Amino acid sequence: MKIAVCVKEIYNLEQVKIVRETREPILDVPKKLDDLSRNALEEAIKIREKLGGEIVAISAGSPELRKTIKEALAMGADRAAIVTDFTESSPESAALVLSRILEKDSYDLILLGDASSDDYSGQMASRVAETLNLPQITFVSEIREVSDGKITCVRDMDDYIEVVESDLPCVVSVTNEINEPRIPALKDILKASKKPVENFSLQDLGIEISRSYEIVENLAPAVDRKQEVIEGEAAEVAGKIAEIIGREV
Amino acid sequence: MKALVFAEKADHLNRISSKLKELGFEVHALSFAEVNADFLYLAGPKYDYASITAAIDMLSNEIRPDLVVFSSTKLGKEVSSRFAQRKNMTCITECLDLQLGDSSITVSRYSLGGKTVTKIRTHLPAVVALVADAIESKEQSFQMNVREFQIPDSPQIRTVSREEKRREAVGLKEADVIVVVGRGLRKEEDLKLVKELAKKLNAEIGCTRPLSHDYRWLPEERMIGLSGEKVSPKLLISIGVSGQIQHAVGIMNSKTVIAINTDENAPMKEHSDYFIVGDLYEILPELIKNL
Repeated sequence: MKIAVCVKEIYNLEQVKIVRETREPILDVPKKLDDLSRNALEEAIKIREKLGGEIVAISAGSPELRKTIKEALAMGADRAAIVTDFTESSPESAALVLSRILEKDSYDLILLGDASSDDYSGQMASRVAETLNLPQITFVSEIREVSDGKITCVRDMDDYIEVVESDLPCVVSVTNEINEPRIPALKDILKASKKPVENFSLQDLGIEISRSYEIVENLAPAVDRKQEVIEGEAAEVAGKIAEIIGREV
Repeated sequence: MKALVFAEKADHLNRISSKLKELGFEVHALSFAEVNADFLYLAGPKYDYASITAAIDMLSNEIRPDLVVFSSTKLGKEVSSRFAQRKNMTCITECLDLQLGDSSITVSRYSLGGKTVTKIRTHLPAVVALVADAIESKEQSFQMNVREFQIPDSPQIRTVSREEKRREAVGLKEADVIVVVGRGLRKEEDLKLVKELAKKLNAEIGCTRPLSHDYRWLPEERMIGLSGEKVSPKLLISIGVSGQIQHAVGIMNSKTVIAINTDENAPMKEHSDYFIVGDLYEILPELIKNL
């Protein structure tokens, strides 16, 4: 089974601070592999454990991705194919770049997260599947069965649970509840540096990116809480809370 | 200006149609039920992306809409982006509002995991998926031309089974008082403490994502946050909640927020009017006695 996992590097969101006066985010923070990409990788590793085969991590991002992709290799991807001069992040351009990399090989299964934790746009599975003319199974909370040529999945939708099956090759996006991604051991991290990484440029892939929309503003919502800290013995604190509740309700 | 809209839920469609009409669009709607529209294409229900995408494609070739609009449900997101890719168009999902400019639209959506709200402008024609609950609109009058429409049966995957989720009727949206519980709670049995407090205050219970989606201690419809409910009570009491931004965006419209947390540096502090540093297991029993 040859599996491609499309992964994404995102800002380490926990480290993103907001400038109090202007409400602008400070994006001068390191990048990391998105949690949902880890869920997709974990699922791929489980399948490889059962059926054997190869996992290729595929990604498009900034020059920093050369470093970030090692997280995917440490988790268990056998090799990677990446583009590192991709700084425009619209879903349509990302889908185009990923699809061009995917077309260079033939895969039985293409896995990805159902969205990324930063934008939560959730378009990549559909867009990649459409570009490659493949079927898609999105929002998968359980892969029930994979065999030669067929996959059966449970989809967790807004109001219903669905069991669906598809012929392979197929694009599958997973939710973050599907598994608990493994944390690589030190030896896996050391091994990751030796795994092959193919690094393409947009020019290699014959892609010219044009921006289809414009960001007018990007600001933190105004939060204006009193932030009064109350400490002390439980009974005393409870009395104070009861008093506040009495005032507010 | 014409808009083509699809949503699998009638209430979502009605909200979105009203908004589009208010902005001056002629509203064409593909629907499984009788809803408000100038031109209604009434179809039998279908839930596979391929058939719905094909139907939207057919209608869009016929109508030539300036804007194609979906409800930002999971189905809506998967169909809108598949359709947009087919047409080589921009698609913006999870939109919280929609403004019309000079042959362009401007939408707002959360980004950076909810830390910021991004305003995005794009030229028409475009595809958007709107969060129906976030869209405010007044009632409008429509032409109501109804036509039966057959969605082409062209699935690319096979549906083995579909089961409706059992939903508990939860009044989080209308509640005056909400008690929210997070991972500070050690075990499921301890929920009875929270329930006791909620009962005293006549409050609804909400929770963070791990409690509903990972531990399954509470039903999904009680989850508050970016991917769950957004609430606006007079008083919200947050218990053992760290205050990750994905959760915090769901409580931002609360009038007063009291939080109880053992960690004095928890991000929840920023989102609280009163931040109590202490152990919920010591404070809650005392508080319940006091009420």
